[in-house]
Amino acid sequence: MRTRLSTSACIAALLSIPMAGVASAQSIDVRGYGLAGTVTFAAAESFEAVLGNPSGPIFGGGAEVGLPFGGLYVGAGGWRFRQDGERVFVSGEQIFPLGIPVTVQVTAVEITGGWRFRNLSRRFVPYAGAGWSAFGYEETSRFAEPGENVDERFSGYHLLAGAELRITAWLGIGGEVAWTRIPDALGDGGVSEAFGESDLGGTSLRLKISIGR
Amino acid sequence: MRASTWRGLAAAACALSAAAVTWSGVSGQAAPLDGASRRLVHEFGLPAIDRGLRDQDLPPDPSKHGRSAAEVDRALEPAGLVPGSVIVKFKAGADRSAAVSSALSQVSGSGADRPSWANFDLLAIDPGADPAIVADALRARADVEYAQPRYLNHKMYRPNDPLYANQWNFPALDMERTWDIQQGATADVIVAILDTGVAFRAGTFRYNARAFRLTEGGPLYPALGIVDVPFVIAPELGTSSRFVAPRDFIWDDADPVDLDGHGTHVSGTVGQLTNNGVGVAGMAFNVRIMPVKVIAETWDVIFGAPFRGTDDVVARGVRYAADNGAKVINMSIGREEGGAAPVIEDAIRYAVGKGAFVAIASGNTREQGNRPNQVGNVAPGLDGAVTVGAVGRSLELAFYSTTSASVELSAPGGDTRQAGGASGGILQQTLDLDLVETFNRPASQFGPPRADSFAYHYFQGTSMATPHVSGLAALLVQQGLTSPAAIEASMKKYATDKGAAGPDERYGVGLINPRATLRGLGLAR
Repeated sequence: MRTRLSTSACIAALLSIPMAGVASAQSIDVRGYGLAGTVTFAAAESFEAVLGNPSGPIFGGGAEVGLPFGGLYVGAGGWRFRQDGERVFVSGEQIFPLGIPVTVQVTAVEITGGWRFRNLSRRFVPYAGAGWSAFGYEETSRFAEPGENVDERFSGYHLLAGAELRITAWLGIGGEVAWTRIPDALGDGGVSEAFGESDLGGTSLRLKISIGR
Repeated sequence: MRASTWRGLAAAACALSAAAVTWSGVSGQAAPLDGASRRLVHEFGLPAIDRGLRDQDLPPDPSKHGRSAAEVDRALEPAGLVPGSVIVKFKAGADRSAAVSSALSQVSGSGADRPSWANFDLLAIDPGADPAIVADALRARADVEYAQPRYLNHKMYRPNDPLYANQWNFPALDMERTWDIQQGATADVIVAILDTGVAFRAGTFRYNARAFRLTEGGPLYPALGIVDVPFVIAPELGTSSRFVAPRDFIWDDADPVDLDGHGTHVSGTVGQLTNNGVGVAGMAFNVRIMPVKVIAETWDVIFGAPFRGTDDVVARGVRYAADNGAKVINMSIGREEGGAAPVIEDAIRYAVGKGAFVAIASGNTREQGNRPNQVGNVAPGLDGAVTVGAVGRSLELAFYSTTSASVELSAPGGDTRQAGGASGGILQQTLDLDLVETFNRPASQFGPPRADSFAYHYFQGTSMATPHVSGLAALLVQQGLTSPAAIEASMKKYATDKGAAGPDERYGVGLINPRATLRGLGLAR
């Protein structure tokens, strides 16, 4: 809950920057965006065993600031994945669903620095970046006693690349692919231990709608 | 005219039916029984008598067979096996008739018989010959897969004496929180109880009670002649719909009634009616129970039952249970005497292959030479069958629980030398032993048994530990864990390690942990 509030506050604060930024300095571009997409987790076997699928939808948003150094920009954003499944037992190659509901929620905060290739085209802007990721992992299940649910924070890094199509001077639509690695977040228990999977990261495909310059 | 005709017909019908009842009763008494058989003389019984909690008697040592049914067997067959025959399985591809002839001539046998349900033969040999030596000779043959004497099996406990507050075993296993997850399974899960029978039906059976000795050279108990024994369903096991495919391989019929109390007690630990405001609880209280009688106890022997609990009979019971839909087979039975039991091992492999999980008692001989249950030897090498040791109320190894490499898991079996004393046993409803074990009274009070009176008795033994594992297996089946191998793996994964770190010969992998086993795995925890 705390993470959700702080992420929202951060995004709201960044979204409030554009007008001030645009007004104060012509060379600094400020954009706010919303995103929707899908993430495929690196711990594919574990997610598939419990949730029935290694992938699922994500929703989020953030803001970017284009700095007055060529195409350099910095951004902060976040997204959330939440899916229901059931607890299982793994025996060899067999997975037995046990009918006990479990909900997994992954909340990501990403700080990114990158380069926007603005010289290639006025309306089509490719970009690439890298940065620091902080993931919150929550796992709650029915019949769990206090301490049996999971609510933990982990950090790692990400690489991303994408392109934006400027529809108008203030509105853009784009798509990006991001690869994230969150090492040693899983693997100490549950099916992730059984499968030897410890990376909470994965690959996400995102559709972004941005407002701002 | 019409009315008077109907009245006349009705009167005639009444007279005929009354005559039929009278004739039936007289007939039952006039032609009682022939040879070693029994007859059901009444389908119905009076309501069961509940004699309450019996917790004042001193508990006998489960590892000492005392004046028990098995002793009667031992008085007749001191070697713990049936003389005059051996079990032989010829290898696939061998010409059976030629192999039988050759084998018979080798061991001076007089004939061979293959029961319709068996994949092995029973060779009749010289009654004076040692079946173990004959079996050794047959095993040396190239066309023989296995050969063994017809060892006698017996129940693996001894009853002691006498509601949920008295059932320390369930809180010790955290069953209250476990039942939050899985409330006693459902009638879709069938648990077979291979034992001395179960108090599963009402009726009166007529038997012929022969003279007998309880111990070799002991006093001769007089023949009681024709006796009618009343049976009723144990009230805490429910109604007749609770039981499925009952089978008696001791009397070779479909009435595996309990003349001992062991099988009914074991059934109670698996599936005693729970949360009904009466008596005590059971592990998986909604399952259906398949009573399969494969153990002859004292009264069965006194009444001249045609079969005993030999390895071939036990094997037959295991296969029957698997073929008739049992998902869990409880074997609180076995033997420490004699050699391996390949015929039973074969049957257990068959049952596991059919999708049945098998739980076997490890034995009660720690203070009597620590001889493991030969029937349980197959389990460590077979995923889907486990051998179970016992702990007492302090959750330490019970004084009688046999230690061996065969022990895979532990569960509460009771121990009157640990905390709780006499009430440190496992409490379930079973036959009122005062009215069953009349042969334990002074000779002047010896009389026929009653199986329509029940009480809550504390028993102890690995026999009592095993149904805890069977009950957990039933809960797991209901929860979705349908593979016997997976059931075993999950029980072992979550067992609480006891004794030396890791698996050991005292506790196996450890004490079963039903709640953790049922919860299974999340993604990260």
